[in-house]
Amino acid sequence: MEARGSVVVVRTDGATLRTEVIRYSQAKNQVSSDRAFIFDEPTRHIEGEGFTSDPDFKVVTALRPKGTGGKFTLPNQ
Amino acid sequence: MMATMFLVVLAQRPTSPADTTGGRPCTVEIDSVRGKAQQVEVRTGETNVFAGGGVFAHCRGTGSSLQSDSVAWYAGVGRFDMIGQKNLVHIRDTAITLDAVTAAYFLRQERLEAHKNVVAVNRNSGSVLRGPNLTYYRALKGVRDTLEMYATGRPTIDYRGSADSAEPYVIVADRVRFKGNDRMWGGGAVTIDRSDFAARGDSMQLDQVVGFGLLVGKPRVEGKGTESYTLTGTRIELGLRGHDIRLVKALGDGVATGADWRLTADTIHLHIDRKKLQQAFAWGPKDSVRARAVSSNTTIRADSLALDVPDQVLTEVRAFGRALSTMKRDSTARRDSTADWITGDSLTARWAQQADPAGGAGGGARQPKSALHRVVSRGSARAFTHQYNQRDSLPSLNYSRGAMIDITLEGGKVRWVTVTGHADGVQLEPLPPAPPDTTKKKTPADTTKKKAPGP
Repeated sequence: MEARGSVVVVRTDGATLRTEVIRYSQAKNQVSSDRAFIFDEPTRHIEGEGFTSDPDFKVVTALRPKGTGGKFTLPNQ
Repeated sequence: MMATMFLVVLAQRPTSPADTTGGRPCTVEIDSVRGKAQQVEVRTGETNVFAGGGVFAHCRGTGSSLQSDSVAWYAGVGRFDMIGQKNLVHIRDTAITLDAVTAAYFLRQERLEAHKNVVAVNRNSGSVLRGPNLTYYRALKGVRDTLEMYATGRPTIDYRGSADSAEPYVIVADRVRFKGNDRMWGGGAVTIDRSDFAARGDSMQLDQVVGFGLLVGKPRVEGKGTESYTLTGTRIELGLRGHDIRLVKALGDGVATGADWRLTADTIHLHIDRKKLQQAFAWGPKDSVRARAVSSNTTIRADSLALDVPDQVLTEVRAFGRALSTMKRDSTARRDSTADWITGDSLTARWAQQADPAGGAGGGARQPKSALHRVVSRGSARAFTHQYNQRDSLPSLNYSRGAMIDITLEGGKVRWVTVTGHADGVQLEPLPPAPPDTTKKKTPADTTKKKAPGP
């Protein structure tokens, strides 16, 4: 299965994934994209040039990602 | 996806160097991952992350940054690994910069371990550590109040007390430990070097907060320069003022040596100013070796000694308690090499600077040399001296007693002996030359030998 053109994937926890192309391979049970993507969740913003993942997004491999890791407060604050 | 893993190593240092328990938030920005990054959710809420091909990140709005070829974050154990096979791992925050082949941060212990080609620079003081490994413990409220660092494998430390120090002490030891910015310990064949100073010992301790240093295990301290000095003892303590050494103590079997003197005693204190020795004190318990100062021609023994050596030039020695000074006579005293001596409850000996007659060979400038010119004994004073005059080729012998004896010397010979208070003594003059033996004229020369008839 392949979706093209302003694809938006919304995870159950509200995180969103935006890309131009996304593919689902039933044989590999894998979701992937070879195009730029943007991943947003409340504490993180990641951009990359492609990714591969399982349908639950538990094992995700991103190509050349960059972004913001979120705010971190040291334990002794 | 993977950014949270960077946070642990990009922790911000406190704004005040004295408060090592603070910190501030770091908003991590991944500048780039040149290869791939993978996150694996091993269980709900626990995601491991791996990235390679070059990872660059920084804390937003600060100078804290991280570079590494590859990284791995293990959420379950709170461990973050950084590997820099092609390019060293580089971590920089407001307090320290660290380069190494590998580094691992253990979040729960607030511990960073770095291995291979480690170079750590304290950005506050400018001190640099180079070695095969470094373990760094961050300060953490409830865990430890001050940062600590450990290094083994004989690291080299360019130790600076403050960033503006011109020249660091180079410290090498089998293993070192740091606590805060100003306390350190070293163990195993410790060497400390600077252009004006060198020290050796099995172990050392340095505490700049209280201005204290310690060397044990065959310790030896050496002042370098034109007028050098050395000090050995069972234990050597250093008194520091700022970054400068102001006091060096030898405790037990002390031996101090200068350009023209040698000091032996159970305890020796050397006072240093402007990187040069200024004063020395020596003493010991009653059952120990008595304090002894030896210069080229003079030996002084007493219960305690005080030497004035401004800018490492011997000018005065004060001896207290059963003081005895012996003075070698010059090389012309061939027939009687008995030394001059003076004793009393206390002694004061003074040296003056004279041009060294041995110096200046080849037209060079003569170096001044300390020469004894006066010795004063007080309290039950006694002295035995050889006194020369122009009439006799042999010296007269003088033994004097009194409350005070003052001896003045010129050219290494006794010039004056002044005895005051209950003075007595004896003066022995050499025998006058025998009168001419006129009887010899009446005796004809024995010419028989020459004229002995031959066979």
